[in-house]
Amino acid sequence: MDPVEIGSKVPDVRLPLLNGDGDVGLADYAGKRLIVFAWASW
Amino acid sequence: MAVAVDLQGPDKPMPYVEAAAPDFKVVLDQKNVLGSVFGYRAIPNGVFIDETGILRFRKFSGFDIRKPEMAAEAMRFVSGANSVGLEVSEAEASGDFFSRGLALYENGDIEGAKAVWRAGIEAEPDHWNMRKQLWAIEHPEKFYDGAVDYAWQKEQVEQGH
Repeated sequence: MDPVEIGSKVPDVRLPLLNGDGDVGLADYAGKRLIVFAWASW
Repeated sequence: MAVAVDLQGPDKPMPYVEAAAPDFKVVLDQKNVLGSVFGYRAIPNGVFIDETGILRFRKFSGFDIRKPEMAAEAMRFVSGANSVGLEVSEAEASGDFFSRGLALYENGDIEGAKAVWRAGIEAEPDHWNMRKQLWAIEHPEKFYDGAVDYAWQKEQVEQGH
């Protein structure tokens, strides 16, 4: 899969909540502006 | 939304989230799915997506909302601006070493996973996600016994590890 380019639609990806209480998809934020911050414990 | 990129599962990032107590959702990306979607190979990263699902901005490796210029740009974006004044990082596609190593790791072949990741790091020396994940598995005491030992990480880089 080629990475999404600026100006292109982001695919709907679902990931589990860290606390184990379900999951969240990027499409769940439709109609809202979203900032995604990727980090790690390391 | 925050994304904890940690193949070892929720236990490692959870203490940081509990301490920060964010009022937004935090998800776990053990398989670096978003790394493949957006093309990042290191962290921390910031990605801005508009209300129609269009990618408007990305900053790989060095996105820090504590920096005034980044906080200001984030505020402009959520207020409706689509143009971004910050330098836009170019996405770089990653090889599949990370995924192959992850598959081995998940099947319990830790040594096999480490070997694939070592080869992956040789092929893609700037794939910091892969390098740091390997370090964290091989040297957990440098990551999870109190504060992360960044001085040790710097030594590893200087020694070519």
